[in-house]
Amino acid sequence: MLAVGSLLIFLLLHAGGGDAALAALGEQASPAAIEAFRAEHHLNDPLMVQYWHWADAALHGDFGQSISLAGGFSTAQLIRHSLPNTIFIGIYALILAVAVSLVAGSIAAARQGRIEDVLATCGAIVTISMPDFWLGYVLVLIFSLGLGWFPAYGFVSPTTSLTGAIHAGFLPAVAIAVPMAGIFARMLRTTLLETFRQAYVVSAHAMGFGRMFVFWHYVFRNALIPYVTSIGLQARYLLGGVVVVERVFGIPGIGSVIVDGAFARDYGVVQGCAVVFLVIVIAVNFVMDLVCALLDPRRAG
Amino acid sequence: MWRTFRSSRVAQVGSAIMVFTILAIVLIRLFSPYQPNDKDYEAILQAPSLQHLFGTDSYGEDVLTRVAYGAEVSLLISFSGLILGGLIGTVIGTICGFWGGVVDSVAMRFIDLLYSFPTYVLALCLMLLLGYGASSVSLAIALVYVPNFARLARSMTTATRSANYIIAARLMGQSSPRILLREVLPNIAAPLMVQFSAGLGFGIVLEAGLSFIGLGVQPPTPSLGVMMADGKDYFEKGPWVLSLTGLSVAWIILGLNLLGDGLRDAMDPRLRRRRS
Repeated sequence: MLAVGSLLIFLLLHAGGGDAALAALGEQASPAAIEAFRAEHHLNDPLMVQYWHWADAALHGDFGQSISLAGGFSTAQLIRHSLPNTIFIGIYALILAVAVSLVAGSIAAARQGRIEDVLATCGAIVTISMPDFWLGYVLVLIFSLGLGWFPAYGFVSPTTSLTGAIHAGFLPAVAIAVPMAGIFARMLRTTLLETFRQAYVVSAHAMGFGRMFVFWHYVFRNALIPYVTSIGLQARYLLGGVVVVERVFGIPGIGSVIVDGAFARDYGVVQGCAVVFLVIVIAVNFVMDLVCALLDPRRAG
Repeated sequence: MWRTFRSSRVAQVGSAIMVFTILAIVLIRLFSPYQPNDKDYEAILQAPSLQHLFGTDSYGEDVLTRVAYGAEVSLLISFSGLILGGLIGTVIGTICGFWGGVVDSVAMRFIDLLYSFPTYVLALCLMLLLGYGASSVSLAIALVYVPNFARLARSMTTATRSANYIIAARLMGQSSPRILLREVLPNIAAPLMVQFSAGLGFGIVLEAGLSFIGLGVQPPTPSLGVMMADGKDYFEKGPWVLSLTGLSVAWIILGLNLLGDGLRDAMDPRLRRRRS
């Protein structure tokens, strides 16, 4: 899957015919310089040969040299420096979204039709409708420029200071987490309500177990499985949001790298980052499958 | 179905929001004293007032007028992208689901692969390939949504394949393309419509996001994303440009989401029975 994916991205980016040599050397570069540049970066070889060179190197952790003006760094270096920041923000946002949605979704389902339910459901649809990068700016306006609680721009890498990163990363994480929480909460509410109607839940009630006991032992655990699956399916949107939100807050993550690469028409960098993103999504789904297997012994097989 | 849709409060609120929005767009275009590209250098970055309800931007342009024009551009981009993605995805999905076999497994692997790329990464690669601009953004939205439609159409088609009415049509000697068009498609159309309405909102977010980072629609085309990108450059001096434009985006998406929810409830027979 990964091989096909990387090939797809490779072909997609090379089919465009955007000239990396022109982009890197500028419009005024002499033909000789362009020719030399192409030869140096194997740009004259057939596509499949180019792909082979690239994939072979990539498997050894080498995504090639960045050929843009940001140059001097290898793509692998760029990715290695930025990836921890992205993963940190992603997990941070995920924790916030899961925490909020577990509470809100459960309350909404337990109090179906009451005021709490209406509030939570309305809140969810409103938060889902907010573009995360815009929310980021509104948060900055209120909490950084207005109240001065959090820095408006810049980021502390979690490798240098964990508490600093938690503080500086709070607003971006919230911006990503809020729409996610809305989606998750709705999902949890629906599955909880469906589980409430199951025969085994009704009979557990009939057997005289308390409300809380039935909820924790019969309902919650079973409703959690579709919820966890939906988190895996949302990974694609979650990471998409990270790309833009990193830009808003100036977080030097892999999303910023891929956007800079796109601006510089640096195909090598974009390619490397795209493949890394693909790996992350596949990995997230794998982990979610594992969690599902833990929750549902039948599936573990 | 139409009656359930009309009686659902979600659908009512959603319709109200969308009618209000479209009416507002039309009225502002007709009666606004400003043009979207009217530059007035004596009135740059003015806070919202009665003359300029949403304030003015760094060129002294009226933000509300620009929002009205931009909303139309963004809606059109999202709409055309969804139509294209929906068509391609549905064709792939129904064909794979109907015939199955090797073509199915190969094509669906490919679709799964597309589905595994983060939305913006996929869109960004396509923008790099096609160059920036409104039509590329449209295609990017289509590419992001092809897998959604293909997966949905495939699972629905597979479910109908062994239904009695399909077998009956086959026994009557109808050709496969005819069965696909006349029997399968009308029966799987409802969920596809729901996916379409849900995607419309996200298409606008995708356009706004791409244009916001500078890789989407390019100025001077007044799309909502372009205006937000513009607003972020002088966010501290004139926060209303970005905030109010974004608020309009959220408002439109809220309307579309509510409409989509209403549509889904109306088309889901399980939910319908429960309510009555």
